[in-house]
Amino acid sequence: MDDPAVLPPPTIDTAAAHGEKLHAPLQRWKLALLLVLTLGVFAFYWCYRLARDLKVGGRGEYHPWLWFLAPLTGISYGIAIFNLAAAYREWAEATDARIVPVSNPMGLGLLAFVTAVTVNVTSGLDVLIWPLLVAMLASFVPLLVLQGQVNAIKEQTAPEFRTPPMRFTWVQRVVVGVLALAWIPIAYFSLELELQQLGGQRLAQGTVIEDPAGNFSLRLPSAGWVQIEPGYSSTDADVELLLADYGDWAAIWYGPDRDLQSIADWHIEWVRGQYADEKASCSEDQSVDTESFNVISRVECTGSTLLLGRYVVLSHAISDGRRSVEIVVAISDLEKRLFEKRRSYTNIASGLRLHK
Amino acid sequence: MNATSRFWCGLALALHAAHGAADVAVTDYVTFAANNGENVKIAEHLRPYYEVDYSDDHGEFTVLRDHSLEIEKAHITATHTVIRRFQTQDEIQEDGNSVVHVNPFSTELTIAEAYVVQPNGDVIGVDPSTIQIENDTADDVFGDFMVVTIPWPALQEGSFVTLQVIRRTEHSKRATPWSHGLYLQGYDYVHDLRLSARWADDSLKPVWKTQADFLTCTNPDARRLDCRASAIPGFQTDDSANYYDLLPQVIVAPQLEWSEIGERLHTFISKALSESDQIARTAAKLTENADSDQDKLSSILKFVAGEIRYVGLEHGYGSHVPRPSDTTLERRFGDCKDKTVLLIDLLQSVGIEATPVFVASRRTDPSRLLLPSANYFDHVIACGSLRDGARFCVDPTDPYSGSSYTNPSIQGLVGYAPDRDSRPIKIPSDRTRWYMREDMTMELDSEGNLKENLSVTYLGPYAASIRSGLAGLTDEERSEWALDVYQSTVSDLVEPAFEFSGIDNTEDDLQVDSSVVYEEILDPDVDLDYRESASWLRRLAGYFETENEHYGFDFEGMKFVGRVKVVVDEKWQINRLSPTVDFQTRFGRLERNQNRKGNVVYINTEVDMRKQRIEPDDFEDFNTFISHIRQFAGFRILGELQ
Repeated sequence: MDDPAVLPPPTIDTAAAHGEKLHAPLQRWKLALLLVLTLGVFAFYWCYRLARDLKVGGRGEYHPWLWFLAPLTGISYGIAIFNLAAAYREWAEATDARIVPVSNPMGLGLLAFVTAVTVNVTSGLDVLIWPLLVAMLASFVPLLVLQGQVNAIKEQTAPEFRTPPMRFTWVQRVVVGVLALAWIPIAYFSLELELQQLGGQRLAQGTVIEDPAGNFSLRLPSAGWVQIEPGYSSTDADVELLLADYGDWAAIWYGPDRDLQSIADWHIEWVRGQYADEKASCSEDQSVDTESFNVISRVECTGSTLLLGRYVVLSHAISDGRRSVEIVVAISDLEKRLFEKRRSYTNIASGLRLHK
Repeated sequence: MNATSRFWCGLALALHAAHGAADVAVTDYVTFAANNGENVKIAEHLRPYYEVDYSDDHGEFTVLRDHSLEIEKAHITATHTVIRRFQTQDEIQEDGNSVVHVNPFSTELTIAEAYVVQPNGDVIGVDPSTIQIENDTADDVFGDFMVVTIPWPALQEGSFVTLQVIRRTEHSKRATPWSHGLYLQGYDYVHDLRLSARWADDSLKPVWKTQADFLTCTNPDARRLDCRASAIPGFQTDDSANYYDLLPQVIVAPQLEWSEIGERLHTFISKALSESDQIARTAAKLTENADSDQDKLSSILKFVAGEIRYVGLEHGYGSHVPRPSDTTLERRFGDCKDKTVLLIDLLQSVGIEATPVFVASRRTDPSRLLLPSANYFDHVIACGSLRDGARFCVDPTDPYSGSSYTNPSIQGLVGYAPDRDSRPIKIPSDRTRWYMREDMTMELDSEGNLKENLSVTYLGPYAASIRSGLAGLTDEERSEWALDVYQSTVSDLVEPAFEFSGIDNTEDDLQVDSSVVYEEILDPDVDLDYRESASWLRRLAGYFETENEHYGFDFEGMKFVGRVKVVVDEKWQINRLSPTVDFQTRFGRLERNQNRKGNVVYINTEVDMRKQRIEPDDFEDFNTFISHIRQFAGFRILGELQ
């Protein structure tokens, strides 16, 4: 058996052994701009591109489309960056060229690992948007460092590069077009809450929403609610409220003559029908508002479905014997941690008051 | 004229004197000195009152109330003049007679003016032969008081009646110092109100006090007080209000301290304590099986309340001075003071300290007793402490209450213990007057039948109230009462059988047990949806909704404990119960929870509303809470047919 210690190091055929050319060096400021503008999505293509250049250079084990998926691997993203950095370092070391700078693959991998972990953690804290942005920006750093090394290698070893514009097949163009179009609604919904917040419609904790018809008010116990549409009146029938998390919903019904027991009955029947979950567990309790002496009925149904995961539908109705107001909140999530966390702060109905 | 307004009219006329002219002796203590027949004339100084403008409708209309006192060493003369205009036929029908109360033992009454002025100016005098006099007595109470009724002749809408009576009362015929109290406002509008007092010399100078801010008083000279008010509106009425506390009043009395009044009252009692061997022997026999002071108190109270029957001999000084305890023990009858003296004597002979507490049975607010006077008090009970420090207040005229609580009808009234308190106080009341417990087992069988075993228990003072109603009834009458209560509370579809316990022993709670089967009350072929409306709690709570609008009242406290066990046949799988309820408010709390073990459901309901003052600002919330109790205390059980 050959002694690995005397084998020649892996080499890179910078002359495009397979008849293909390498990508031209990508200036780091351009990379940074692309990453920021695409909120990090460009990292997918970036990984593809680095892997392809390695393959073109003779490292056939790098399949570009597999590396395209590297950013989806969560904390394993750090290993992927380490691997790419190590491959390019080997490339640099296999040449006689003077490579500046020479990055440390372990350091880059560790940095990528830490930022990946940070992004994951902060993305779980839905309401903490700024830590998430910082973590996301930090995750670009190892990419920029590695890009500098790749550029140096290419500039010193490659005789020529692929020249844009790149040619795409029709299938590729369709895929890119669909993705581009899909990005529009995604971007819209991503920014909707922030836009509403900027527009003053997203309300702070403690804000009191007054029904224009004067029948009820709602004091928000947690931030992140969207105001009832201006001009809404309880006499117009029910109204929907937009919650901070997608898939969650809330609505208010004003009833001039419904009693609390029929509201509870209807609520439980509706939940069991809506979620096709006859075994949904519902608990009911009633109390009295100590100021208005209105009766408060609280009904909470919990269950789980294959599609939605755990869910809870909470009804909070107030009646003075002649009129009633009910607010219903529904949340669901496949992830137990997120579900429990949101459930704990989604009990908005405790701030509901029926005016005298 | 209703009973209350009759009382006010009588109270207002409770003054006295003597007058001249062609007097007619109606009795030896009532003289008719007014003009009558052809000689009737309007008193000239009253003539302007018949010309008052009546265009404004004030309801019942009193033109003049004039009260004057002349205080002399040996007697007091009170003159009372009233002019009233009858506005409607209803008033004439309801209130066409005037009533004057008089105690012949101490007072002479003279009717000085009594005539009707018609709208056309005609004046018609009262025929003295139409005046009616009868004894003012109640069952088992015999005294001197007489009721003088004056029927007004020829009344029509717009008629004025004028009545002036003069009452002369001898001090020597009074058991307690004199005092005159007068309510300044009634249900009628008063156009002109005049009060005056004169005293013969400085040593007789009285004190006076009022809380009426509309009364203006002056001292024209050193021995005279004049007060006047005009355009006094009628007092607003309410469903539940103690007008004796609420109505503005004035009181005139000699300059005495509460201690002097108390000493006089206490002397009556202490002098009547025989402290004899007979008393000691009787007490020893009554308590021979008693292990504790509480047992001794219970035995002696049960004897005095239950075996000394109530008979009041109130003639002369007997209205205030009790008989010796030996006499009462021998007679086996007596009134409140006789029985209290006997009770105290018996208790003291077995080492339990007790003292008399005088009760103003129409008063609940001690601050409304404006001046020291014995005349507020019309009842007496005994209070004391056992050797373990436990305090008690018991009423020996109440044979239905236990010794561990005070007669419910006495609680919260104004009381005065001369040897203990420096002035009258409010008699302590229980935290909860009305305490009911419901224990029920219900079995729903596979045929849809419901078997119900029910125990309704009345506790403490509530038991005393129920016991007093049932005590004199036969077994059959008690069952009829229980059936009537059951059917008006729960359902008239069935006629349960009843059993009673605790009627005879005042120390026990009173319990009514019943058992019944409701046949085919449920459809056995469909899902279960059984609803129960908490009938007994609904009934109890329903007593307390107030219709008051103007005046606060003392809510006496209510407590309810319900323990219901429902056994459901296995053909149904229970899948849902009522909501848990926790209504906690400043008035009290309603709690209901239920536990399920298989097909057995346990429902626990509790309402706890302590005694408290309910002010007008609270009426709406208080009624809402009561309404919530009635509406939300029920439960239901849902089950799926297997």
